[in-house]
Amino acid sequence: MLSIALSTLRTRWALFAGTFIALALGVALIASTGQVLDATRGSSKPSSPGRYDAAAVVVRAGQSFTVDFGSGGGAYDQRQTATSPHRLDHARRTADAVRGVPGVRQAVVDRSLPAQVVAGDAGDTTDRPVGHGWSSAQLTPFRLTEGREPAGDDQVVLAASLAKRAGAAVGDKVPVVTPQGRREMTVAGIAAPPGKGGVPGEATVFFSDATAQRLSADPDRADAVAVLAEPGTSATELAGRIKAVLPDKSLKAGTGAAKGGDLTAASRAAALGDVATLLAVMAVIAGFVSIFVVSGTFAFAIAQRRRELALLRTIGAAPPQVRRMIMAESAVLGVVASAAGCAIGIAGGQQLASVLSSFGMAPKDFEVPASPPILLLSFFVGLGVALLGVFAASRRAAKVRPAETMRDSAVETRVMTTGRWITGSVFAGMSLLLLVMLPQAGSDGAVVISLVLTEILVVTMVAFSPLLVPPLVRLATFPLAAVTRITGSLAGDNARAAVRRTASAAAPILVTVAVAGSIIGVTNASSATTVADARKHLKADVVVAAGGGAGLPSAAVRELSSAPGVQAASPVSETSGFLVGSSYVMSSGIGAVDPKNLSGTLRLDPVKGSLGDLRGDTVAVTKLVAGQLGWRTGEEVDVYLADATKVRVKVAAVLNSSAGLPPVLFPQDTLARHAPDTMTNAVYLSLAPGADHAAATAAAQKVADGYGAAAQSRDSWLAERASATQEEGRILVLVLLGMAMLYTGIAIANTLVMAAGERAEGITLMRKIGATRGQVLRTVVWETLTVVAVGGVLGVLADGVTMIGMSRALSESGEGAEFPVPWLEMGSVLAGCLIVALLATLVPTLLQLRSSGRTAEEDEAPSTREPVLTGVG
Amino acid sequence: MPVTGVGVEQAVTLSAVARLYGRGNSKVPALRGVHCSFGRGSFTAVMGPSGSGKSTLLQCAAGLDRPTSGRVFIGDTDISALSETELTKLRRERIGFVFQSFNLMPSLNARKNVALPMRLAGQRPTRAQVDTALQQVGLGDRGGHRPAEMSGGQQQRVAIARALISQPDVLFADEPTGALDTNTSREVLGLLRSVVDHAGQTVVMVTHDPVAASWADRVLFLSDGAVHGELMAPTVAAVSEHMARLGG
Repeated sequence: MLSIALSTLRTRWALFAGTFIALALGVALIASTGQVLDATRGSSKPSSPGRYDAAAVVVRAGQSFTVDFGSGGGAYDQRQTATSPHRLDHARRTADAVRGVPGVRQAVVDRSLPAQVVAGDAGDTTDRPVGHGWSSAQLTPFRLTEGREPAGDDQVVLAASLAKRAGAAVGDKVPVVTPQGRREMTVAGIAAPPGKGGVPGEATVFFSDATAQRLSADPDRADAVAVLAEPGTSATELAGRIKAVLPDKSLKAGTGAAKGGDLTAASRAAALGDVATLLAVMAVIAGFVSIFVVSGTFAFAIAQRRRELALLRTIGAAPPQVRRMIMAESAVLGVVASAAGCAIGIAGGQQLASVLSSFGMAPKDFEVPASPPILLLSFFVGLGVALLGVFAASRRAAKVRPAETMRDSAVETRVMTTGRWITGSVFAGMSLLLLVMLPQAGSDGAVVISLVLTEILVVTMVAFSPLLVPPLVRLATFPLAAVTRITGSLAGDNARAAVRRTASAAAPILVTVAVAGSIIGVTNASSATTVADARKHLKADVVVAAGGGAGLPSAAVRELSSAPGVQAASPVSETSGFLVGSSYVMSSGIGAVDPKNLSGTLRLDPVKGSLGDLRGDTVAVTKLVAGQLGWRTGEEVDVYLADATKVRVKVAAVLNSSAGLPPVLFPQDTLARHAPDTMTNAVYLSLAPGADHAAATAAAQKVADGYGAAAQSRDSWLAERASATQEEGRILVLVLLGMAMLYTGIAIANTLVMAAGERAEGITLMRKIGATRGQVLRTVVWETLTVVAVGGVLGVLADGVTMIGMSRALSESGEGAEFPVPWLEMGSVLAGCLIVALLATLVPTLLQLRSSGRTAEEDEAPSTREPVLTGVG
Repeated sequence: MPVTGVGVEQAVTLSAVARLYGRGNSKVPALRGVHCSFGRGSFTAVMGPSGSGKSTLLQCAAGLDRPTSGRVFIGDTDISALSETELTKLRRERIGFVFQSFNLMPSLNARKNVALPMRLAGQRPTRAQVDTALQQVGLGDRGGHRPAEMSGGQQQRVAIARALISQPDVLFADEPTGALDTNTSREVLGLLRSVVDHAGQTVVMVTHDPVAASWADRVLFLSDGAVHGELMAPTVAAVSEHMARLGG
């Protein structure tokens, strides 16, 4: 059977070309997105150079923490890794102990603090702005390319890539902002690791060691104690000796990859954020559409090859043999297409990353290496899709009766099979389940669940299409039949009679419209809601927002509050951390506000408790997150900050929503106490009544300029936020939509070309009994229009249900879930489908009409198709 | 016609075979209680006007379709009692088929088409066996060609070679010359005649063409689902006259 399968594939490759392309592209897409996701998790090759490359051993505190839940037999624990470096205490004592170990040439106390250079384009990057002491430079190593090392409190050495962005040369004065304030520093030199501009993900500033100590919040806490070894010393043995002398036994001495210092993985993951989730959804959609295209192609191929299959059965092929042959065809096709897809996918990951970074959705130096495990996985996914897609078709092939060889028998098979009933009911049930789950999901979860919901609805509709399609066709052809003389009603009759063909042709259009609509609708809705939420809650007159990665020090807040016309200045910080709920640990954004100055600038409505109690070791939490974690007002809960610092707090208030801020809010000074490096991200200013808004904004801007921040009036800030969110949403939509449409476009073309094959005999007949070419073409066009209309209506229906669910979810987690119906975008998608459909249908028809003009008798040749006007599936 | 005993002399026997199509009140009888048999080494033509049930007869006799009632014997095997798998095996080993058109798998060449039934049975005929079969139908040099590269007559001859390679009990042919011109028809019919005469093959051929029927030893006439006479040593004139009386 395998050799027959191979011969069939070789001679009828045109039949399978569409499937091959769709499957290869699908595998390439899955492989590319898989590699990108893998790179963001940092489980692939660490970036080069690593910060501690020149160090033999690095002593650090443990970077992860464990939380226990339950008790007795049902006890379990959850481990989380810090996303910011967890510092070690008693750095000096540790360094002293390490220095005495034989084989240690030098022990360096490595410190880091936020340090932002305010000059040129220094802030225009996703790199983290970090400052170190100069002794840390040799750990990478950074070597001076120009100038000298920093001496004294007001000298710095910049990494080469940072210096280039800032437009700074040796001898220039540049302002540097740290948590302690703003200071004019002189560029003493420029340094870089050999052959590179800096460490990826870091915008590095080197202070003198004394200055770094002075600027650190706690000089005795450091990132690590890094060891440079005597030449010829074995790193592992050295690590063992060092571990033995460490005063604090919880510290770890790492070599090789365990040295850590790779902040880039965390910063990459942070930068990619939601994009990663949507990439994953995209890969799922690709898999889904692939299964669809494969099963559609094979269903058609089998319908067209009925006589061939009947012949096989007649001359002695048992049904299982026929099934095996069909599955072998699909398996061979799957192997070849998946291999092609993987070949594309080798470079595909990097290509995808470049596309993403060119749209600003990923850091510019994002490296995505080819990952053999992911490629292998994608290969098997492709093969699995091919086999899964062909499964139903192979069973139908085996049921072909041998007697069908003899005549074009009008088969009275029921179109609505038991398989369809089962699949349809199961998926209908699943969609109901998801609809119920949606309101509990939170705004991020709602996006993912909505996209999945759409696909499940699509499967339900495709399964039930024999029931749904005929009445819709009837509806669609009423106007056509009324307007045209004969072609409209003929098209309607054709479409209604060939239910299976019409339903199969409408299905990819249904998929396209549904997937497009859901991506557009869902991203529109969530960005519109975020904006509406912010608008409702922001009362401040002027907003000063920090540019770049570092933020505003408290000195800036003081300056702003004493600017002319300013009544109150309310700082807001945003960071991240982990929340310990009743049964699990959730990673989440964490914010800090100044409760005393809040009332004039932000409106946060507490549902329980009161904002007046938000002082000391307390937090306010949104209703949604409190529900997810099981937190109640007055309860004592644990929060871990990004660097794994544990803070025990009491829940002071439960808020309706956090107005676009993170869902858990600390009082400003509490967060400053536990995480001294946190800087303010934005300052909300409320002006005194009667103050001159324009003048106040200008004054605020003057202050902000010194810190690399921008001051805007409320309206201007909201408008910019709205357009930024929408812009981000739009880019995301374009990229995802582009990929999805390319894919489903192939499905539409493939299906319709095959449908044209089925229609060929009917067209010949029409010509013979006297229809003009124009009439034939018009009939075909109306039929295609009907198919597109039916698919479009069902797709929009699926979207409608999804959007209802989505709006309920958003109104749970925020306010004002309002979204306009995206007429323009959906219109373009439908227009696109129509164009593809018409092309795919008209080209074969025109070709046939042209050739059939010559020979009428040749059409008597062995025909493998079923006549179009009988009730055939 | 009374059944003259189920035995080795009869290659195919039909006993009270009836076939109804349709459901409920709209059942259409394609065959009404037909009795007939086909002797070993005989060449029988089955004729009748359209709608007479001759194709249905062939399908029931060949095990392609199950009769609504009655029994069919290939040799002394009651095929109405066989399961689908056993019927399939029967078709591989003991029955050969040639149809009016669409006899060959379009994607396989002549050699592979001829070898197909045996390969489906899990056996591998040798290259020599296949080539001999093709030579016997005069197409020894066309082994590597695909159906699309051959004329209608050549395709029919390849089909006959395939039907005969497993040396079946009986060869069923459904309008084998229906799509061929007079000269090519004569070649194909001559081939069928020679395998009956020289190899003792049993052939049952459905046709509507009196000329084709005249090549057979006996013609069985069907009308309206029942047997309406037979003719031994048929001539074209006698067959045409009988058909005219039947209204075909």
